Formats: sequence, structure tokens, C-alpha cells
Amino acid sequence: MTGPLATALITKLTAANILDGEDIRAIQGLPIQRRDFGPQQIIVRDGARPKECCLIAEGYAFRSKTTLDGQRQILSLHIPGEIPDLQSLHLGVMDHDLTTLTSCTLGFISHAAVNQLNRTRSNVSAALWREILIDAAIFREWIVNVGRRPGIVRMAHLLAELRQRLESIGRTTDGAFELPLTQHDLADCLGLSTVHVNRVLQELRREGLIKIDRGACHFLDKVKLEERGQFEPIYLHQHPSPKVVDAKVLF
Amino acid sequence: MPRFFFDRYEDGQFFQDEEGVDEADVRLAEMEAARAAFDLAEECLQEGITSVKINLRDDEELILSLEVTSNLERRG
Repeated sequence: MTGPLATALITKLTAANILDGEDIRAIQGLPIQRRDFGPQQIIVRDGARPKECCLIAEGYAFRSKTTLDGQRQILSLHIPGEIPDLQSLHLGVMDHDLTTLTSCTLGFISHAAVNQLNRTRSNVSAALWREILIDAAIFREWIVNVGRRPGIVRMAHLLAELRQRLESIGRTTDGAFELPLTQHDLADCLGLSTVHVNRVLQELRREGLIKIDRGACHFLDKVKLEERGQFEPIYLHQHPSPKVVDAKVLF
Repeated sequence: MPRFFFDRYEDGQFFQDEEGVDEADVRLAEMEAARAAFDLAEECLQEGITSVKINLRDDEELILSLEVTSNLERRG
């Protein structure tokens, strides 16, 4: 059964790309194999040589690297509709871990099937290429965040980004979104100690900007929160690009 | 994994860690306390706070107390 799995991908791709009916039908026709994972399970390990890509249909996942002395840095967070290891299509070996954050429903698509799709549907090929570029733009923003912003700004920026990405795929409710990260996870995203994370969350609450209740994050003042986080969403490139006439050379 | 608590003082003002954090062992918890003290001291100094103390404890007792103080002198 590929329907619901393909729907997650279509929702994500059409949020920032223009696809026509034939493109949608081609995605719906992809052979996608469903597998369910529990939280904190490695999907693809550093050093692996996968022959398939992993589509997140439900749940959250993250990419990370771990230093020799056991310190983990979370490199990126991933939400439904994303294919966090799409780069494995052309880079044979994984250079980081891909792990579930929550329970996840995942869809695995063989590299052969993705390559075939790229050859036959130039719009889809361009959309996937664009997703990779946006992924790189988010990495650039995370480097600035971790390297140059004070703790409270880092946190506000991360929350603003996550909310914006989830909103674009219809995964917010009255502006609130699921935040299934522990303080340990947040610390590993932001390059802070857990004590520091605790402090900045308290400060954001004290300033009346957020409320976190039973795993859901509510922005009490979205404009001020985004200002606090120096958040400018342009790097998420969420507006659709013009339809591609011939992008066969891209993949 | 055992749970550790990182209570903190900023210029003597006490903030209790009510949630705690799971760490594999006491050595990693001590490393986290040290990292937190220096990490916070840098940021607190920008807010005019010159002393940060972390008290690391488990469910039963205080394990380690670590204080970082900054000496801030301005001319004129």
C-alpha cells in the first residue's frame, strides 16, 4: 500500500514546487515499502551503503554525528514528507546517522525507482533537487545559529523554523505544533548544555513568548518570538519555483 | 540510566532543576555540569551576572558543586 506514504511526499513537494497531474500520478505509482519504527531507532547508520531512500510519512527523525568521546550533535530535524537521505542516491556511503526521534511510519523507495522517476518526470526531478538545496540552506542557517547566536536566540530560532516548516505541510493546530524533543535533544540541536536549554526555555516562558504543554509548543506572540530568534524565513524557500520545462540534466 | 539534577545559582539566586536529565554515568553528568557552568557563565556575563554555580545531585545527595566567577572591571 503506497497511497498514504506517497501522499506525505506529494504534500511536501507541492508546498514549494509546481507539479502537474502526471507528476502526481507518477509519485503515486512509486513502489514504496512501509516499515514502522519506534522512537530513537537508527534508520540508516553512519558508514552504511543504502540502496534505497527513506521517506518520512509520520513522525520526526534527525540526522546526527557523534564525536569519538561520545558527544552527539544533531545536524537537522526532519518532518513528514521529507526524504532525509536523498543524498544517498549519489553519495554511496552515509557520513552520518539517520535516527527516528518519535515513532515513525517510513516509506522506503529503491534508488532504482527514484532514478527512473527522475528520468521520466522532469518537474519531480527538479522538485527533489530543490528539496536538497533547501536542505543545504537550512544547514547554513543552523551553522550560524549554533556558531554565532546567544542561547535564547538559538532556541527561539529553532522553534520558529520548526513551526514554519510544519505549518507549510498542514501540521500545526491553531498555530501549535508537536515538539517531541527532550531538553537533551534540544541541547544536541543547539550546541548548548541541557542546563542552558532549561534556562532559555524558562526565559522564553517568562517573557510570555511560548507555552509548552504535553508535548505541544504554543507561540503566545509569534511576531515577538520570531524577532527574538532573528528568524527570517527566506532561507526555507517556501514559495513554489516556476515550472521546469526540461530538467533532465539535473539528476 | 540514572537521573541527575543540575540546580543553579546566578549571583546567589537559586533555580532548582525539577526535571533532571538522564546521563549514562556520573562521569558524563560531571562533564555536563562543567560544560553548563562555563556555557552559562559566558552568557550570564553579558547580562551583568558575574557568578554561576552548578550543584549536581542525584535523587539522594549532592555530587559536585562548581562555581565560575568573572571579575569585571570597567575603566572610568
